[in-house]
Amino acid sequence: MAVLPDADRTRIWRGLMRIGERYADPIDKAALRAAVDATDDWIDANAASFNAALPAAAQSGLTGAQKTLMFCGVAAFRVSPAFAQRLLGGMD
Amino acid sequence: MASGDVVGLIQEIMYPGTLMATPDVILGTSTPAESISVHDFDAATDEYLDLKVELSGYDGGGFTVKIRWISAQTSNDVIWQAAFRAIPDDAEDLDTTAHTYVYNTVTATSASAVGEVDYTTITFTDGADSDSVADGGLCFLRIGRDANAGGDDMTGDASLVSVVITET
Repeated sequence: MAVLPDADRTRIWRGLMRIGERYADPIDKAALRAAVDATDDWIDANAASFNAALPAAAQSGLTGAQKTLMFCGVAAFRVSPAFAQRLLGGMD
Repeated sequence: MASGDVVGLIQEIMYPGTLMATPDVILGTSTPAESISVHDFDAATDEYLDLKVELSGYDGGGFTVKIRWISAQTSNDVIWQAAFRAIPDDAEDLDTTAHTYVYNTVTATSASAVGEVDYTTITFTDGADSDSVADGGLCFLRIGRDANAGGDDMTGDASLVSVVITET
């Protein structure tokens, strides 16, 4: 998959600004947008590396969307369990 | 009236048909907690509020619009903008006449802590700069955040707490 379209990166940027309300975030809007772009670039550049790091069964058995969701689930838990629960739904 | 006196009686908040700042509540921590009503101005899209104002005791000078607001961050700037629309007696057809608001602005730096109220002002001279509003007359004061301007670099909402209109 190629990098996200500019409009989609903008939607992420806007969403992050909304979710970040009432939190002390020292970076400005331009820096946040640059970070969103860099994150998407990094994901695109390292997709093959991520796939290679997965066990063989997952490499061949999961679709691209399933692998991405798994990546998001693990990353969301690193934000907080509550955030991951909003993303994944039921979670013990 | 003397300089510094309040001359704008804010009668009502009117929500623009689109791009309105959204009502919100910031909870205090007293017992019982204050529910501090605010209006949130987005960080990515220009949003607005209209205030219905009656001028009383205005002596023909300029205006100082005092804006009290709470920032969602502790650094970077917000550009507030404001403009008057005069509604003189038997002259302005509100449902057919489009008005072009000409804004005056201020770049306000966020307070040092989230939850602190920052005081900032936007000034107008008398005459065309304030759409030639007159004492005893009705006017609209449109308040906005110029979120898409390069100088407005604060991520997160700017929460408007109150507005005061004084004669400069």
